[in-house]
Amino acid sequence: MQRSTERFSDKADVTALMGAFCFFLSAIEYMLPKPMPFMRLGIANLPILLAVDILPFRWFLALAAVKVIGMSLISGTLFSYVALFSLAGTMAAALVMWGARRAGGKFISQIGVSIAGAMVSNAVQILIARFLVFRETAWLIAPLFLGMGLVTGAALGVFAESFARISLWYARAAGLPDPLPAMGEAAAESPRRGFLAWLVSASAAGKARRAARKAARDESRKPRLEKASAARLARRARAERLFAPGALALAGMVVTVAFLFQPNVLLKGLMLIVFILAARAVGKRYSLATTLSVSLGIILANLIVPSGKVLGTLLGMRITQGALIEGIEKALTFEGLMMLSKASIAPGLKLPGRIGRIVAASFVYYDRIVEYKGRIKASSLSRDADDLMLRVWGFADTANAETANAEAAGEGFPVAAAIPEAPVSNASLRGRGNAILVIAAAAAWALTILPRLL
Amino acid sequence: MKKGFKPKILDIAAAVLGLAAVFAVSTLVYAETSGRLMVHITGESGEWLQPLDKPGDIEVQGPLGITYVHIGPEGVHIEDSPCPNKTCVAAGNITLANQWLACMPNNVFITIEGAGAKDDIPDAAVY
Repeated sequence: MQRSTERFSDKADVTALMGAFCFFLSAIEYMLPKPMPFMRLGIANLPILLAVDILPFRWFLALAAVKVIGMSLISGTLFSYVALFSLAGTMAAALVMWGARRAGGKFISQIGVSIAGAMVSNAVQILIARFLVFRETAWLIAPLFLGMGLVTGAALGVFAESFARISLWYARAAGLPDPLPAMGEAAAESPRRGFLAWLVSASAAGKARRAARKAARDESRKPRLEKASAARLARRARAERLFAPGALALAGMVVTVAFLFQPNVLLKGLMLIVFILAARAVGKRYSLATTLSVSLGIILANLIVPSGKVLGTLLGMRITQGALIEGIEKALTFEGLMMLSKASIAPGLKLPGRIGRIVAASFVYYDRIVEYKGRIKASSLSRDADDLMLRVWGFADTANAETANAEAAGEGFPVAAAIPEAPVSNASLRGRGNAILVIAAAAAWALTILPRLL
Repeated sequence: MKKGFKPKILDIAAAVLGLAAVFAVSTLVYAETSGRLMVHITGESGEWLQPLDKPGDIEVQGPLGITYVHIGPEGVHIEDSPCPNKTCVAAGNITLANQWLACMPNNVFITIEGAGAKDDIPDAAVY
């Protein structure tokens, strides 16, 4: 582990690893149920919270940027409002967390830092929602959103504090003495008695029953899911052969501008359908239920403040024409940007500059985290997470040692060279792909300009 | 290593400030939504609702023709109406809760709704 310890001085490498954990936690968060479409627990901010004590300010901000860019690339939302929410919330929270930690000194722990970050992040996102998506109704969700930020921020802070106290990786990264083995482990092994023992065994039995039911359900759906997944991967491979990631992203940007300037709601709806089909064609995941529920949420939020001719009454709420059209327009814009971004952002897209290289290196670590075979249990979450970090870090160390001479990164950042390349594609296929992109961009602009001319 | 940890003074301060922010925003939101003034227009061709602080022009079709209503920073007024005397146009702006305007010949009635000040009583009747 000696070599690993020395590597902590390579801040780009530490930033890349922590960025990878942001991606991983973001993926976990994506799978968790949400009470409202925009509500998140914020667990992807955990590495940023820990990094307050590990990274210098410059690298700390770089980590925040890597988190936003990488998560937007994974989810394909780089060109959507979601990326804007994420960028503003993360950057504001990062600055406040850094300031709180430095100003608070020994009078503040990760809990206070986390609460401050969560509250500021949510407040900034409410402000953006006010002007872009929900109109005045954004204020109505503000108390709930801020309250949730307070609770999840405190919970995340408690976990970060507990993790920081037992984590060997964190101690070495922060230049602290190695922590002693957890004293609570022996106690955890000791037999429980009475009501507590009954409660624990009943809970375990319930969990086992639920797991068995889920396994049976998954087994019956397996062939269908496997077939759908194989078809999606085939579509993705075909798209990667046809389109260069850079050209695809450029076309996506051109179409994004056309879409934003589209004045006609019906044509905007038509463009959304085309974007959904395009996202599906390039092998991206798509859920009609999510699109409909998010759109419905935006429309309902806009209907709360009436505006225009009264069309009718629904559950005591007067539905007005102006508010309805505005809600539909905002829902179409939100979902359209999301789908367009999914369609045009390919995983192999390489961003320029140092941040781009760190993002690329984070993806290498991310792959290793996803491939990790160890178990992560809720009862020993901090310790299991620390094992995971040490394994991924150690594995990268070995990989670097093996390939150090062969890599030609030349900018003190060898891990970036290990990014898997997109499948080899011939020039004529790429030429056809570029032609498709030019036609798509021209069609999008034609649809936007035509209603203004007619 | 310590077995447990206690929140520090600024952790508690952050939590208290957070709670205060949630409380303050809830209070402001309640005051904002309950105190918001809405322009309510009724005519033969339907009913309209528009926040007083949202500028706009509304055309209300009546038996004589179209009454043009303007909502702006200065309040609500009838810009033009096909009635013979144009007294509704001459009435000018209304800005407070419970004030109203009407063009009786063209069956158009405009009120400002919402929880305004207690002394916001109707002070003009024009048609």
